[in-house]
Formats: sequence, structure tokens, C-alpha cells
Amino acid sequence: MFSRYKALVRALVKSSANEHGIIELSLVQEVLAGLRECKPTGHRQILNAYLFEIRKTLRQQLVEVEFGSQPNELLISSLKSKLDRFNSHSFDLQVSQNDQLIAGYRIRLVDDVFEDSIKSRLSKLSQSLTS
Amino acid sequence: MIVLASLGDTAQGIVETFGIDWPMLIAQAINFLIVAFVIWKFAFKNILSTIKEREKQISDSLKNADRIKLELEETEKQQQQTLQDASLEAKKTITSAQEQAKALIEAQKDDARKQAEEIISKAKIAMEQERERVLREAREEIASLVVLTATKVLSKDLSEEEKEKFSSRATQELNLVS
Repeated sequence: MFSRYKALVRALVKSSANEHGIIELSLVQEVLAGLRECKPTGHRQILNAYLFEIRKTLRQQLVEVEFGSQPNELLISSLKSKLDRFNSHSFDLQVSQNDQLIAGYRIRLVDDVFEDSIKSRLSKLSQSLTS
Repeated sequence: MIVLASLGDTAQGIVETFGIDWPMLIAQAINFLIVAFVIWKFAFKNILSTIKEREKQISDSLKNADRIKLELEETEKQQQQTLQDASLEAKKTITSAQEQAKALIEAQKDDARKQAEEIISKAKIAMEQERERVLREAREEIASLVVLTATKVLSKDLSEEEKEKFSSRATQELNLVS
């Protein structure tokens, strides 16, 4: 069903992204207002397909980074440059502090998790002791 | 002639001496012959045949006795042979039974030994498993304690600067490969 509106939905998703390719709430709202105004044939299906694609794109663009220490600009810029080299498309970096990590980082990128923290090292130590 | 004449005289003398009456003598002789004939014909012959028959019977009896004696000896021999055969058979049966009993005892001993070995082996395995379980639990407990203690100590004792240093080094070592 979505395949009928695939090209249209792609165009709508593209319109919802800024010049860096990041989905922005204001642009999404504009697209939705436009759709509400013109109400094309299969309006409901187009909205569903658009929601699905937006969620998918947001999930792919979102990179969650947790630091065990207070995050500083140097750390963030260093990490961002590495992620730029790794990711082909644009991404939205969300940085936070997680005291449970003690020190180090944890990066969640779509379905992948990269972690090098004192907590993860202690977990590895525990596993090596019990195996 | 003279001798003959003398002999005649002698005989005549004897006859006169003993009073022999020739006709009487001849008559008696004839009577005797008749009686002898009758006896021979009607009595003596039957007696002889009876005697012969008895002799035959006795002879047959003796023969039978000999035959019976031989048969008895043969029977005794057969009995002896039968007894010997029975004795041999009994000995064989006893020997066979003894061998079977020995084999059975050996088999039972083997079975018992195998069962004992199996029980020991199972007990060893169970012991080993129990030991492994205790060791694993102890290791897990120790590891858990070590990690918990280290987490508490590091959370408390690491300064903010040290934490940043660690985070920075970890970020530098991050190697993302697409």
C-alpha cells in the first residue's frame, strides 16, 4: 500500500529535513499543515507512511552518547568527528551524563552499542573471573 | 578117554550128591526164561524208558542251569557295565555342574565388580560436579563482591579530573569501522 506513495513520502521526508539533512520539528509541522490543506487522495495512507518514514529516519539519525564524567566540548567534538567518518548520512547527537558508567562513554547508534567505561571493564573482569 | 570118563563120573557124582532133577531143572529154567521175558517186556523196558527220560530231563535241567548261569553272568556283567556307565555319567554331570557353577559365580562376581565400578564412577562424577558447582558459585560470589567493591571505591575515590581523563583516552581509542 505504501509503495504507491513511496516517491511522495520520500519527497515529504526530504522536505522535513534541514540543510544538514536532520529532521526538524518545524519543518515536519509545515509538511503536515500542507497535507492538511490540500488533502490529496489516500490522505490517511500517506500520513501513515510519512509517520513510519519519519520515525525510521529519526531512529537512524539519532546518536545517543552517555559519558561517565561531565561532557566537555573537546570530548564531544572528538567523538563527532569520528562519527562523521563512520556515518555516511547526517545524525543528531544527544549527549548526556550517566554516573553509573563512572568514567568513559556509551554510544547507541541505531541497533549498535559501543561502550568503553569503567562499568563495562568491571563487567568484563567479572565475566573473566566466573568463566 | 580115560580123563573124559573120569570127568563123567565126577559129574555123575555131583548130580547124585546135590540131588539134581533134570526135568525139574529144565522146567524151572524155562519158567525162569518166561518170567524174565515177561519182566523184560512189560516192566524192565518201561523202567528203562522212564530212566532214560529222567536222564534226559536231568541233562536238560543241567543244560538249562548252565544256560541260566551264563545268562546270569551276562546279566551281572551288563549290570556292572550299566553301573560303570551310570557312574561315569554321574561324574560327568557333577563335573559339568561344578563347571557351570564356577562360571555362574565368576559371571556374578564380574557383574558385582562392574556394578561397584559404575557406582564408584557415578559417585566420582557427582562429587566432581558438586565440587565444580561450589567452585563456580564461589567464583561468582567473589567476582560479584570484587566488582561491587571496585565500583563503590572507584565511584567514590575517582576525581572528576581522573574521570575526564579516562573518558578522553577512551574516546581517542574509539575506532569505528563502517
